[in-house]
Amino acid sequence: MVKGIIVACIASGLWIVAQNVCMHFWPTQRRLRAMTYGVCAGLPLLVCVYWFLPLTSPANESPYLGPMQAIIAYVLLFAGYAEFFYHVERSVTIRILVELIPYGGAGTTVDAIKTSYPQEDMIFRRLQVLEKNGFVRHQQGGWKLTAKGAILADGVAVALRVFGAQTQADRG
Amino acid sequence: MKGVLVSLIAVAMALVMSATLGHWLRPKRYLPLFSACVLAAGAAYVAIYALTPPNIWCLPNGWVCMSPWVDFAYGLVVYLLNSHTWVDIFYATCGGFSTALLVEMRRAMRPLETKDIAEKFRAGNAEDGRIYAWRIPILQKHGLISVDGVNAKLALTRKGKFIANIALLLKKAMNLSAGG
Repeated sequence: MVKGIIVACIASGLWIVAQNVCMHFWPTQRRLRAMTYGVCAGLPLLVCVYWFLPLTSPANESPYLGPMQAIIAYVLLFAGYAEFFYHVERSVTIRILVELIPYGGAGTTVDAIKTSYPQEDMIFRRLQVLEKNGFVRHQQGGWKLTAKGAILADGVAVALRVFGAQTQADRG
Repeated sequence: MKGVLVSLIAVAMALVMSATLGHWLRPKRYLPLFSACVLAAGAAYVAIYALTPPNIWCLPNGWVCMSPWVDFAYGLVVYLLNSHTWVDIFYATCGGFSTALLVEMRRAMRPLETKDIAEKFRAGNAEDGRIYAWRIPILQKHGLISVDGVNAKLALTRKGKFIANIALLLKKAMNLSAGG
């Protein structure tokens, strides 16, 4: 069992490093897809590391227990990394903080930040990403949801009702 | 394997508790509620793990881990990672910016131009827009920025500067654009 956990950590570390090296040479906009391919490509690596790692499991343990634990930990570490990645890549709050770096201790006004990071551009860029991922399309008259986008919007609306939450547009 | 099974029960408990309490209490901020529910379900994990037999009435002998402490710790880590994932999914969907755009488009029931969508994020605070309006007090509350009341100037605190620099470094290391 311990072997499975160690193997998952090694294989995850290797594919995360490989993923980031690849992003430098072949940057892609479809990052979730790239990450999913990366983690799938890492599965044979997981098997190899498990096979070659010189650690033995107790004799009375099922031979499938270790690999099963390795796969569970590998998938969960992938989810954790993907979440971390999107916090760094997409967070509006992080972007506001980064925009403030050049102003140092003197600071600046919200209007100055909005010059380099305007709200409408922020929305337009997100719409472009949503279009690239097939959730919206632009046609005469403006942006329209695709069937996939409508399903996601409805799912979010249900989740909002269940949790009694509000979207960013509804917050005061 | 018992740890994983018990962790799944605990995750389901945390999720149901959070949804029920969120629905009733409608808190302004969900993280304290989620943290409390994850802690409570974490205590339930410990209790269920301690009170059930090693095979949890269903596991074959080969699937019972020889070291219960390792199994317990592994289950706890799986529980924490799964909890983190569903909390993150909540923030990416219910609290996400892109999903808020989709929900606004769905509510409108007609195609919208970018400026029409931007308008929906501007209502209620014409000066800053909602995107900035609710974030700035939160950043201030967490001690990441200071706001000069006289000139309405925002500046990074030491803590904010540290986080901003780490974020910038990570963006460079991952070859990402400014983002946001």
